[in-house]
Amino acid sequence: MTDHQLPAGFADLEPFVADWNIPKRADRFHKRVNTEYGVIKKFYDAIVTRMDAVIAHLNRYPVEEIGRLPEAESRLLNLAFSFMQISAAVECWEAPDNGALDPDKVEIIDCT
Amino acid sequence: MEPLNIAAPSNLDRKYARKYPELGAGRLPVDDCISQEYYGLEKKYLFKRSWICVARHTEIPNVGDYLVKDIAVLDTSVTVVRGRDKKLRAFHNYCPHRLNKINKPGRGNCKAFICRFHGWTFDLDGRLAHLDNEHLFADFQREKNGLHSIHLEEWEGFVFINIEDKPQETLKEWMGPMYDRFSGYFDGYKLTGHLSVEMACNWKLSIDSQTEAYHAPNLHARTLGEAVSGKENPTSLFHSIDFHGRHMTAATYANPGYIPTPSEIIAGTNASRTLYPASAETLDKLPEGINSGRHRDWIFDLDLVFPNFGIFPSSGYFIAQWFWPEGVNKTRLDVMVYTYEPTTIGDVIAAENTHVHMLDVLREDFSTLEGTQEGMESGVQPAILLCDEEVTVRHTHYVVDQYIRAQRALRP
Repeated sequence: MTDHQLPAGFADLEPFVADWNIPKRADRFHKRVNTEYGVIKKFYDAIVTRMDAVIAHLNRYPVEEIGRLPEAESRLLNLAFSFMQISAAVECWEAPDNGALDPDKVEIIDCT
Repeated sequence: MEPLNIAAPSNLDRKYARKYPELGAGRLPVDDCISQEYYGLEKKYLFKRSWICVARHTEIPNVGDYLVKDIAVLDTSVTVVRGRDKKLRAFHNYCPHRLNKINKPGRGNCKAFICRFHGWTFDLDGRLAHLDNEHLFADFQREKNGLHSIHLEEWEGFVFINIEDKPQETLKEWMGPMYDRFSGYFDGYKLTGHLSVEMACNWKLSIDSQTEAYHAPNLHARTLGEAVSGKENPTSLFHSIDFHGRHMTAATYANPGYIPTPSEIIAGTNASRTLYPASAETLDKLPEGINSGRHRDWIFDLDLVFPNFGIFPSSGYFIAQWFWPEGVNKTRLDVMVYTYEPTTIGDVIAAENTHVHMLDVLREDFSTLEGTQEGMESGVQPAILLCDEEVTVRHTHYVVDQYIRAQRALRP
């Protein structure tokens, strides 16, 4: 089953589903700051050139259905969110975190 | 303790010192951030005699929707509820019988408020609807024992309360020139992010850290810095700072030479509107009060509604920030991020970029707060230095102090 966790055409991103298929923003943030930089960088390098295709694929679904996507698409969406979460770690400070306020101090409250 | 004497005469040829001579240019004493006694003055003469924003109307859209907030600086717990007539009302969250607290902080929907202690039941409009043993209370009048109401008014969909028996000003008078500046701007946005943090600092420090841009090229060097400073403006000088009575607006510069990161480009090319932190072009659709100078190289405004409500409007999102004092050196910050209504899933993914970067930038802002409070409490220096661009900080402390003085003179 692990071969088909993502929609067809995104097999190259399959290895990252286990780590980065995270539905909630708060959990993605804590995953980022608690993950080794090398692991983050590997995911970034794999997905950064694929993001336009990821978004084009997901845009085939109406935005109203974002909470009811097929499982494979839902995982792909979470990978896209995770890409945004880790992007600055690679693009701005080459470390999991920017060394600002203790990550555990901020409460990220779900708005969905 | 006497209120502070913040303003010192200024002979400096600086643009804001010239424009706002009453604010002075001297050092700003730290006492108003570290004195327990001064905090007492703020509670008594400022917060308990002000219009205070507590929510956005969209948090409680339906009949029976309510929210409960414990507001330490007002020494009370407040319920805001939408009644059967769709109107919003506010009450103290205590049962008039024995003053038991009726609801816990949070949100919900109900048909009536029931005090669990003895079952007293109140309609959504606060009237006492039911109690047992009514005949056993001496000289009892049911209509005089409803929930204690609080004055409530709305501005642009934001809900304000005033706990005075008789507010000295209407909310419109309170907002003054701010009142008409936004004309419907907030309606097209949806709450998509909420951050909350408690910091060991005075509430005014948490405002100060975000209402000047002098810090941006340094504190945000690896995040927002390059987007808001560049060759033409290396220290991120504001386009303009305007004080509207006690309130303020500052227009923040965006670096037109900024090269967006790959993730910002992905977000930007897939979003139907401009988001943060990439430079935002001026949209003519914005109401006159936002980016009022119509600068092309503008990223967002910093608005502060006196005394503790911040609004940072941009073209594709706005942030609403509540700076809640909880003690002289304790502050709860609630940051609500609203983004434009998405039309595609790509819009939602692009907005995620905004949320993520906003959190990292805000964590940089927050990271200075406890250290600054500690420095002020160390006694190493009785006052701080402010440059002309930090006149916004000067203004915040000045108007708080002026308000306390005026109120104390009016009604000690």
